[in-house]
Amino acid sequence: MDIVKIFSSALCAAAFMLYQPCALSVQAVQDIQTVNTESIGQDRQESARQDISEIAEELGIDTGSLSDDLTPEAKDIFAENNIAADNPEAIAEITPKDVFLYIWEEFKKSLSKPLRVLSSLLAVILVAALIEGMEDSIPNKSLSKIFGVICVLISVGIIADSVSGSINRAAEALDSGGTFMIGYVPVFAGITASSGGITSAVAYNMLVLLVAQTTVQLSGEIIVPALSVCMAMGIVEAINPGFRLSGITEALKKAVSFIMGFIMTVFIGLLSLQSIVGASADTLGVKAAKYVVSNFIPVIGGAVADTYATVKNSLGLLRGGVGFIGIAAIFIMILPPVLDITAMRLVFGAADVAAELFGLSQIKVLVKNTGWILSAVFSILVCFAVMLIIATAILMLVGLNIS
Amino acid sequence: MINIVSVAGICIIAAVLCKLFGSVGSEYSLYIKLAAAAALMSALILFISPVAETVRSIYERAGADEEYLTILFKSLGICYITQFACDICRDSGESALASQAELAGKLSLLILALPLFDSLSEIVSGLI
Repeated sequence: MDIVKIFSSALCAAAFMLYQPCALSVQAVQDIQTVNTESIGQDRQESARQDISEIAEELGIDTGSLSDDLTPEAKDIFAENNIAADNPEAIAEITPKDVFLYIWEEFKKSLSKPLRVLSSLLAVILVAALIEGMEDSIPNKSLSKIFGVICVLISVGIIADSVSGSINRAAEALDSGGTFMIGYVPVFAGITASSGGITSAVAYNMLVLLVAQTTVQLSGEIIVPALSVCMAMGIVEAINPGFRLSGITEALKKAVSFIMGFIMTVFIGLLSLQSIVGASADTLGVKAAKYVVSNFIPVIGGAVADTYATVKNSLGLLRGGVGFIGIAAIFIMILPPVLDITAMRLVFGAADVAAELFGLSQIKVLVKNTGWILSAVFSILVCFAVMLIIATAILMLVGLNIS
Repeated sequence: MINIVSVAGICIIAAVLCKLFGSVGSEYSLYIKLAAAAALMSALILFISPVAETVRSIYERAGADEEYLTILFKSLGICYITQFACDICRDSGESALASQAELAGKLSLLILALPLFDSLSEIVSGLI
């Protein structure tokens, strides 16, 4: 039940985080609309929006490079929905229904292979149950024990490919997510710094890059090997119940949950505090700059300060768009392995119940151990995605408060 | 589908015949037991065949390796036949033969499972 709760919470958080940038973008659009109405009028709104890209270019911000590190799936989705950093209206058109429909479609795609695994496992469980049912009428249990081992070996053969495939896909998603963030963070931090949020941008740049680079390193060198070893131990325990290795697997799962929770708390806490404290300093700096410009530049000082406000709002629009792209990219990259693991976990839950019903302890141990490994992978993926999504959303929110 | 009334009938008639002919000669009792056991074994095979068909169709739909299914059914067959042989031998008072039949059954199962151990070692070494 834990995994269901975690998954539903993560799903709601992800949907909220995905929708939040839309709201922020809408707010940014409204801001620029207000400024434009006041300064240049409604008829020039479109041309001002087109100038966003030019402003970004003049500030040396290359928004086009954001799509370089995207996965092909993310590129396709962005292209289909016409989503781009300088097209906030397309972002604003995305509704929660679209997000949930996308999640549901992906989940349906993820279910096919795990369901095949479940069918095969149930077939093995059914045959094993035939022998297990005869246990009382067979005086010598050695034959049924050997048959039990054969059933476990066949079950291992059935699930091994799917489970190792899921672990590898999760590691690839972490790797591609981390690689994307390494390219994305300087661009987003640059836009935020250009629109006045220098302190927040520095904190975001430093912390998120650290997380992204650490994740890229850890996913290939520590996470996958460690989980694979645990999987191997789980198989050994299922074949020979004399080896009590499930304690190690369970301890690892608890350690992963604790470490990820701790890192996430520290990361989000530190970033929030630095961003909030930094936003006050940045607001002071921006107001001081506007005051200096409007009072010390003769004749055109006031006009320059107003132009600065227009440019800043344009940058706010760009920041909303780029922020949304970052969050959506991480969401799209991490979602397939998360759903894949969720589907596998559900299937193993069903197999666990079937094994329990027929009293097949060895298959139950195998399924349970494999489920623990998948839970650990799930925790890592969700923590990684939530950290990056929340960090980006914090910077977007903090940027709005700098005036 | 197995007819449990027929099975119960065969068992009771065989038991009564064993009692009747047991006093004439113990070998007759053994023959009757063998015949009844063979008939019951055939009935059990008929009983298992729909289960086997279901399992096979589930397996085919899942697209799993056919080799696993073959090993599974062969193992099941070995278990039943070995148990049948052991029981007949023990009933005849030949416990040494029963032990040999049991040993042969275990060895057959292990030999049958060798490819599985091979693939297991590949999986585990691949994981590590």
